Amino acid sequence: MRFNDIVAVAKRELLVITNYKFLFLFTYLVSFYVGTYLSMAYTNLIPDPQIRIDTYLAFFFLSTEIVFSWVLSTLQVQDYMRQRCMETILATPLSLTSILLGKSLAIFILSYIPSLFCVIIVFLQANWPLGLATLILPSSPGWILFFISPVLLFGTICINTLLLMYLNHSMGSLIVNFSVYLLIFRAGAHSSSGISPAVLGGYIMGLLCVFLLSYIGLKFLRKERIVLAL
Amino acid sequence: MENTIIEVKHVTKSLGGHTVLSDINFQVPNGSVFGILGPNGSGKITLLRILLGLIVHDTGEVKVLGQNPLSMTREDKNGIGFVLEDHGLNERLTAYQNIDFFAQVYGLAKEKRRDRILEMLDKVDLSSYIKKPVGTFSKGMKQRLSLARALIHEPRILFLDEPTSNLDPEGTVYIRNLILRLSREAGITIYINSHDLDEVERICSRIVIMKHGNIMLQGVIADLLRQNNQTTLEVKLEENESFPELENLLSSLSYVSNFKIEKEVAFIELNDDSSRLLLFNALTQNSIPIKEITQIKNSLEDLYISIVKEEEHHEVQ
Repeated sequence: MRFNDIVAVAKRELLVITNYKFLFLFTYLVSFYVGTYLSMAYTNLIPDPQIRIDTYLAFFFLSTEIVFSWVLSTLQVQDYMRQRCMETILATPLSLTSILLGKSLAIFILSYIPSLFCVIIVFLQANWPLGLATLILPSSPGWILFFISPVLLFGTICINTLLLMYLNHSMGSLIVNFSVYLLIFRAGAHSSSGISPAVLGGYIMGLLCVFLLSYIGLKFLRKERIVLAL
Repeated sequence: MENTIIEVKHVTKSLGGHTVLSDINFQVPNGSVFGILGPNGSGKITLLRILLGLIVHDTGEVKVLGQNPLSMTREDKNGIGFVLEDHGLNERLTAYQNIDFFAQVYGLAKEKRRDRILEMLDKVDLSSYIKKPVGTFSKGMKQRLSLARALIHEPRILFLDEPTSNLDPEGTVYIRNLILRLSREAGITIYINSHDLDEVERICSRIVIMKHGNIMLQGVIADLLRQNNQTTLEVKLEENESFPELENLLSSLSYVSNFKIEKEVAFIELNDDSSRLLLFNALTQNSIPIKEITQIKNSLEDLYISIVKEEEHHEVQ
């Protein structure tokens, strides 16, 4: 595995995905809507307005990027299947790890940066006209999600891509994404009154599971398996 | 063999309980143009995938550039170029973007990359289409671009899967000439998977004919045609009334392996080339009025069909 390989794969993925301009925009709008709705539903009952807004922001950020990353991973692998490029790429000196990390890095960049941009806008809106969102560490439990989310997101994207490469369809990755959602929102529901060891432990366990799954998936993934599934 | 670039020894492969390759043995000499011929389902693609390290063989030994394809280093893999039947280009990206990705993967330095890509695109006559998306290209252009992609890192061996399938005659001739030029000028060993007999006969020096995962025949084309020297003669008579007499005569001659009479022409297959004189003597001794005798040249197609049909005949029995 070489760093240059990962960068080359990521660059190509970025070019391919952003080429689907209409689909890219549509996906982002859907993710934005789903993110807004789910975050409001989960943070509505938090009594303290400051904690509510901070947690809302964190949830909104995570929801948007996770929905977005899932759709993009699916789009990416479907594009490979349709264009029938996978076999050619597998026959090059690229290792499976480089391919996986490169693809995941591209999806991560495309999910993380726009989501962060949206959160900043929402935060500025809430902070300036409403004066509600202050995000003062460590009083707001939402902060922990901001720190954990990039790692969690990258792991989830890796599993998505692995499952899509293994199974050649998106059902497996849908289940993974749904599980990550459950983890986040269940933990979030308990975190409304502050950061507890249980919440922190839950997230760390979640992260470990995601990376363990990625590792096991990659360990057993063979080029033959992908080629024969094409 | 010291000069061997591909070595396949006793290779077998089963997929889903079905034997796809059975005891495959052959060698490809360095610098040759080598063809694998066979109908669909003969195991050509599985064999190619094994040689590219995409699939693991069950038993036997495979060496490409002296190494097992599954344990090749990056440097070894850089010696291999390939064009699979699905050209492997992303249609949403431009010609330049597609090739640039592979140039990066094969480790071409950034400062050299652009010049090399432009040189390769020029070689396949696509230099004016650099910024065009591949989706707008014709099949022939995509095939040329795939060849440019496969040659970007100057490989020592080039694997081609059905290089001229679905191309128009002009595109076919272009690709054929390009392949021959690569072999002659750059000394690249070329391995072609094909079911196009004419293409293989024109391009390749050595062949393997496969069927149902078995090698039916292999060797240098010229030698194979010489060994399979069953001579076919086309005989026309002065008087058509003499055909029954000719039929009786041919039935009695041991060196005539087969014959048929169609539209006032007799096609006579002899066991070997030396029987021509014996037949001519027999015809004159029996006063058969010969108008014209022409020898029909054996082609690879005749050889291929005779092998495939012989196999089918054995299967029926």
